[in-house]
Amino acid sequence: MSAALHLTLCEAAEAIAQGRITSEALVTQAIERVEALNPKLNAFVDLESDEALEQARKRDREQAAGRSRGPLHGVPLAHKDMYYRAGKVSGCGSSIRRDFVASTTSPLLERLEAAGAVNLGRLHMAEFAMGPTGHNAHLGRCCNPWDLDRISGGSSSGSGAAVAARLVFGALGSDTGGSIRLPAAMCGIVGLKPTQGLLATDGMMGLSESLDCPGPLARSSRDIARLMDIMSGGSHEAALASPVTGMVLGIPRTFYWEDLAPSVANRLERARRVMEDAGLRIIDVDIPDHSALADLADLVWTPEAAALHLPWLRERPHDYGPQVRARLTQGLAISATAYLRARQLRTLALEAMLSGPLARCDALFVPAIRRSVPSAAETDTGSNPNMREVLASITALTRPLSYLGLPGLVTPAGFDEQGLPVAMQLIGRPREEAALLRIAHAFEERTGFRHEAPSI
Amino acid sequence: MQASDPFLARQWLALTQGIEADYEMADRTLLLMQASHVALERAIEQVRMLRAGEPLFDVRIAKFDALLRR
Repeated sequence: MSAALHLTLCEAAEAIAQGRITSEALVTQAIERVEALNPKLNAFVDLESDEALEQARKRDREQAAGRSRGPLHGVPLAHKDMYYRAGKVSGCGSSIRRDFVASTTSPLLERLEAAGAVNLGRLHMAEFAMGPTGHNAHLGRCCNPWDLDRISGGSSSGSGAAVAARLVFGALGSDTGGSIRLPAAMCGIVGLKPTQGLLATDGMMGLSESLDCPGPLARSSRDIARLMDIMSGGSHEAALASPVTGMVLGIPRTFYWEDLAPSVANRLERARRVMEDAGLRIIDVDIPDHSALADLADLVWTPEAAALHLPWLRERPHDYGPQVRARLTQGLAISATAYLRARQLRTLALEAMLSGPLARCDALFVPAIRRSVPSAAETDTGSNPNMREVLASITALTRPLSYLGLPGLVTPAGFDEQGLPVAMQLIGRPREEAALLRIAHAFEERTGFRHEAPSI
Repeated sequence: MQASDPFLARQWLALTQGIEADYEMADRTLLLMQASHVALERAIEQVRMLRAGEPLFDVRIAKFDALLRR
């Protein structure tokens, strides 16, 4: 693999800005790598080589004329296939929308490309963003670059796999119950679910109006900070220069830290020590009981999704994969009173977090997943009765945060004895993504896990 | 409604959602209705332990967004 593809997004942008590599050369190398690896990974559903090369040459001409579009000038990205681009197909991982041509463009894509990004194509995703594993009845499975027999995580499966495998430097995903954080965790990269409502959901496929969160995946927190600056404004990247000394990290010893696989507990304990050495003050905190929040999240998102899909559920139910159809059925079964009471409880649960543990610390430190990355075989449940339990076990530590609407960042905490990524999750106060990025950046600078690449 | 009565569930899905469900789908729907009811009651009971009286009567859903914007 070319050394240039090992760079982080920020390093690649700097290399182009300094004339050490052209956008055309970088995009060409990325295209060659996608062509070589995608038959194994299935991370791209559509590689748009000609258009990407045309954009790259244009960026190079602009640069030669002394014009830079911005901090992503010439850097190749690709996004989950649910972000709309006017006049282009956005298949949403489905059969039903396989040929859907959007009439609008996502403002997030517009901002990234106004900052100079080059679009390489559309990435694999779970059907209609429903599924945390990377399985897809229509597209086939997206594989984990660290071990092709393992799941990539989902629903932003292609975003996780493509960034980890060095096919692109960053990608957009979306997170309704963990769909950015799970593929980031399982593929060994960084993923941010921003505060609910911080980033616009216009111009993208909806799943749950109350819980949907667009957000970025990349290989470092600095990369994520830059993407957030471009998409939401603010000064996330500049904030990384501030030391973390004295920041307070809370460890809720109940719920999130229960029933961890030994390898996960061991890596996170090492991560805790690294953060202590970095100058963070670590405290134990009591948190409200979160054991019911994942179920409450289901009471909110499933009826919202079922309402969106009702016409297709009536007219073409067999065009859904069995697992997705089964999950939408769940939404049909939720009464209006249950849905509204779950949303009322959401307000109380958030109040309790803000006046409790998050009033005492800058962020909470918890695992992203309780166990090692599952195999494809053990999660390929179709619509079998144990499907709900398998999916619930994977998303147990991500769904509560979606229900609470708080920002959550996942970054690699090392590798288990099988060489698979282990991840930690930082939970922050509303609109304080910069605090999470500062902590994760300090951790990444001390550990260097981002320099590890899968040998696919 | 009992989980062992998918016939009734089929009728319910047809009448309330306009969905023509097979027995397997109807049976699963019943099970999920029961599971969601149990989950909600458990969550409300947790809140009831912290707040006296009816915990949700004065709660406003819109306050959630205000808390996130604060």
